Amino acid sequence: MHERRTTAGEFAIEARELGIRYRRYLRQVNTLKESVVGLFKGNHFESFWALRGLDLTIRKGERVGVVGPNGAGKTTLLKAFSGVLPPAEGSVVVCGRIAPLFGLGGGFRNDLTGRENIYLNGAILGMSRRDLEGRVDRIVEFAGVGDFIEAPLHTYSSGMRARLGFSVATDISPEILLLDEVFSAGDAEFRAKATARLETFFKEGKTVVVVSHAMDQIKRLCNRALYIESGRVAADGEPNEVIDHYLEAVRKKKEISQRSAADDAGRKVARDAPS
Amino acid sequence: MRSITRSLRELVQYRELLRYFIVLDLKVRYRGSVLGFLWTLLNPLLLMLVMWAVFSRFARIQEDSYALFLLSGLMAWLFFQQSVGRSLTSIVSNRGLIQLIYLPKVVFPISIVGSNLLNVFFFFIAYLLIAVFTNHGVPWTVVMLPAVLLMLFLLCSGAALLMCSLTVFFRDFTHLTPVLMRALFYLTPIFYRPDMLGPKGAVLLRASPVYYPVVATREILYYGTIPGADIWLTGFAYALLLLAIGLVVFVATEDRFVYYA
Repeated sequence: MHERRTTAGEFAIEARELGIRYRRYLRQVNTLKESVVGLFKGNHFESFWALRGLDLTIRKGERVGVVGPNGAGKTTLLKAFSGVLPPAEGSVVVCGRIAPLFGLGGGFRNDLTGRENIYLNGAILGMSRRDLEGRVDRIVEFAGVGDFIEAPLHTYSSGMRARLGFSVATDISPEILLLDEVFSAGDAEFRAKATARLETFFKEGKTVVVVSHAMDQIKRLCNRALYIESGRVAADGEPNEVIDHYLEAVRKKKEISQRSAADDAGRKVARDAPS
Repeated sequence: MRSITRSLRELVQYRELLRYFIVLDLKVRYRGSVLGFLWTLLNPLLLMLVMWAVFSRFARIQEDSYALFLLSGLMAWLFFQQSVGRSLTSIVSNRGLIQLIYLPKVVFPISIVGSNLLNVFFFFIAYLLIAVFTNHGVPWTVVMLPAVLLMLFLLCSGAALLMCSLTVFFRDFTHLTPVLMRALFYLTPIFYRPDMLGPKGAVLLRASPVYYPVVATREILYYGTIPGADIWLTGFAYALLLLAIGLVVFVATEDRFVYYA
């Protein structure tokens, strides 16, 4: 189960024996008839453990970089922390206000104005109206959308949407930040502003979990790194060491696939060669 | 599995979001139409006119004002039909949001029931206008309307919670429900009086949970009589039972919505 606590604890996030299971459909089954038929024909999907048996404690103020190949379970881990994906096994306990900075503006509605969307998105993140009223002007200013704030969102450029989404999500003074790839939307000016805001969070000792493929970023920003491979923690510790370990694994895998490709090519040459 | 108290606590915690979804639902429903919000008033009136044109000829019901007789029955029925019909896909159609951000799913169906509750007030105004216009008047028993609306709200919430969870796992319900609704419509004394089906028919009618709020609304708005104890007791018992079933099913399956929706 996933539990949120507002009380202070010594840890920010604790996962125990965490398992997240997806269904991988072999055939799409969404109707009664198909599910009845499925009873006789056997399973129409197979379970797929995106994460399994994961034990992890993230202490307050830790900045954790998560690395690993595509499909290893990095984003699933963030979604399990944010509560989007309820665990099939084990538990997640989160202490403190959590701000997921992925899928920014996911709750936006095109037919509402920018201002209305700020209130809507704030409410989705669990903020009260009174809480938001004091923040709206600052959010508008930070997003830099100007007069557009009274215009419906479908008139916004994609950069403006992202800026508004980022501004709402980071204005709630979160204690825990979840980032899927470091923010990269908007123009250079906004990116600099956004990076500055994130860096103040880092300096203020907020807890950060960031998924990234940019190793230099993780080395620079984080004081702990996790290497996730096939839904398990393959390495955990000091960023430089973990990243070296990860890159080494990538290199080895590449070598193996190159060697087998070379072998295949060799066999093919031998086979095709005139005798 | 989650607990019911947790879901209810979250509903209170996210009341701002609930309020927002209700406002949005009302705003968006008529956006872009020339008459806009006026449709909330016009829709039931037009529906009543059509039914009046048809049934006053064929059914030959002796009533002081068949138009008001119809309207008083439609009021409770439409609340029920709209609540269930529109919340049916409320989880499935918000799949994108559910997969991105955590929020208590209970706000999706309940906000639709809430917006229908607000619609009933407009319907009530339409009824008042016609009652005054046709000199039929409005009896004092109208003060009992909040109690009937409470019964309806509990009933509709239960049905909405149940149906939106089932639809996540079986999309069949999007096709099946309109047909079931149509059958239930004929099985509810909306355009006819319950005594017109004879004693056996009356037993059948009383099996439907919607029977009680429909009959109660008609008594207090149209006839000006106080609904009997059996109407109140059975009506509320049905409403609470459906609410309990809806809540249990919803809470038991809520954690799987994100994987199935």
